Amino acid sequence: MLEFRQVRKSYNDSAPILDIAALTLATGIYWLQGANGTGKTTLIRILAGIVPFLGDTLINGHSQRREPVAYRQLIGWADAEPLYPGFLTGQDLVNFYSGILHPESNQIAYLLRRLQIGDWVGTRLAGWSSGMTKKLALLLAFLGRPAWILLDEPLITLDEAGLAGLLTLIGEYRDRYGAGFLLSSHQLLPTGRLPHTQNLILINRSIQLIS
Amino acid sequence: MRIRGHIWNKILVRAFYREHSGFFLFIFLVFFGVVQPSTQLYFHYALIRGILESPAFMGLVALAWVLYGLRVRRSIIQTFGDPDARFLYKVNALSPRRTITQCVRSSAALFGPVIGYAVIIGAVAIARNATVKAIEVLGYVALLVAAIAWEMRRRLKYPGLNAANLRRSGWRPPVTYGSILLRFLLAENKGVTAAVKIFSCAMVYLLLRLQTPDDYDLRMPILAYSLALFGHGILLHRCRKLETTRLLGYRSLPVKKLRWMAQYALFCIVLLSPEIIVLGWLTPHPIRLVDALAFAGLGYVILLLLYGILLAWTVKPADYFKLCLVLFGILYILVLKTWG
Repeated sequence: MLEFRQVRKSYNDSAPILDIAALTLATGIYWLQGANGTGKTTLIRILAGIVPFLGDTLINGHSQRREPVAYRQLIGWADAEPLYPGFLTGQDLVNFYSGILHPESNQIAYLLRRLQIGDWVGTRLAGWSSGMTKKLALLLAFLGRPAWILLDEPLITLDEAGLAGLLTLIGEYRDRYGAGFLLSSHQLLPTGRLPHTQNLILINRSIQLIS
Repeated sequence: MRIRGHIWNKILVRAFYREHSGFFLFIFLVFFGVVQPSTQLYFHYALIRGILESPAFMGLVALAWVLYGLRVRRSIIQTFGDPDARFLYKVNALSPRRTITQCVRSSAALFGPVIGYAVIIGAVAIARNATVKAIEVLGYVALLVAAIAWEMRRRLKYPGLNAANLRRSGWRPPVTYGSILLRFLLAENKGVTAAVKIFSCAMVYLLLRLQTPDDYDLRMPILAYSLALFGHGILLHRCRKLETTRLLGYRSLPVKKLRWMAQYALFCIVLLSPEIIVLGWLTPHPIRLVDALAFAGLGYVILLLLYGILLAWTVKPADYFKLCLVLFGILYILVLKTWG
């Protein structure tokens, strides 16, 4: 369960970009839509614990304010256009994240296979295309046992095989581990690609569920 | 045409000078701060004569200019690789002649200080009837400008050119957060890191070496050492920029506050280790153990303070540099008041 409590965010003392009084999302897959500039990325980053904000968010009862470590154990996050230090290899980053998240022994190999970046993971990230970098960001978001996975614009820059791998992963994590997903995009979800998805819209600085 | 040139200048040239403002100030202080104003002209004339007359000195200057060129090249690669600057590739739509002209102009602007100094050397050489030397110096700088322009053109022509980075790596050191920051300094900031560390260690070594039991005064060594430590601000600022751009995901990871702080504490110790080694080398003579510990402690506190400021607030490089100068001023007054 994902809860928002008086979440308010503004930049440089301007009018708030987000103002969500109270909202609870049961575990599931949510497709968050909104026009450019409505605050989708900000919202995802607030939930990921990256952007400072007023109020609080909770995952399965764990407060981001009061239990920041326990809260962060339960989230996985991938940015829309991820950037990583070019002097590191993909393996370096995977090892670094693994040292903190302690994934099961076969999880990395499984994710590498699903997202098809196994051949590249030992090379420096400076030579990676944006699509490959995106796949690495997705891998890192799925690492460990996140209860909620937050993916900002997950479909952009992915090739068809990568997209298929991602959608399979989402289905598997939901069915096997009961993970929830918040996927943001300014586009509509391609029809039939992800069943049982609920639509959310970010409008007037708040979130509304579209039935 | 004018708008294009303006945007290029803003993205490539002004950004370069802004980013390296600390370095240029350092060079300025070294060149103009060490000599009394009345002897400035004579000092620089003697320096230029030395460059023209001594092949070794000339070689050193040529090497320094090559290092400057490498720094310019790295900056260009970074800019062209930056997603925010992708629109620069639009210049490919122009005729090759205009593209090349743009590249040469930008390259010359990036080499502004080098060209300026080379012209002065050339003028002195001509005045001393050494026209060949003048041609050599100016030709050398022209070659450097052309090489950077060519590199710029090549990067524009082949977007995403990064073959060197595709090589498979062999053994990789263990990955910790501090090690990523250190690798960042060594991989992407070699020149600045080397300059800051060499200056800092040289200050410690040279000024402490002069101490004798009869004339034991640590005020100047402390001030010079702290100036060098505040120079580390440029490295720390770059590390912080890396954290807020390419290591953003780290903030979403479940890391305990204590571990988080310990990583920075360890990083600062490792960063300070060359100075600590030099201090250890100079202990107990010519510097007393207690003073060596004070030096190391002061250095560590300054580094932690500088990083702490960056962690607490988002500060632009220029403001951060000013803040470092203010802190140095406070320390300067404290040192003089305490030991004056």
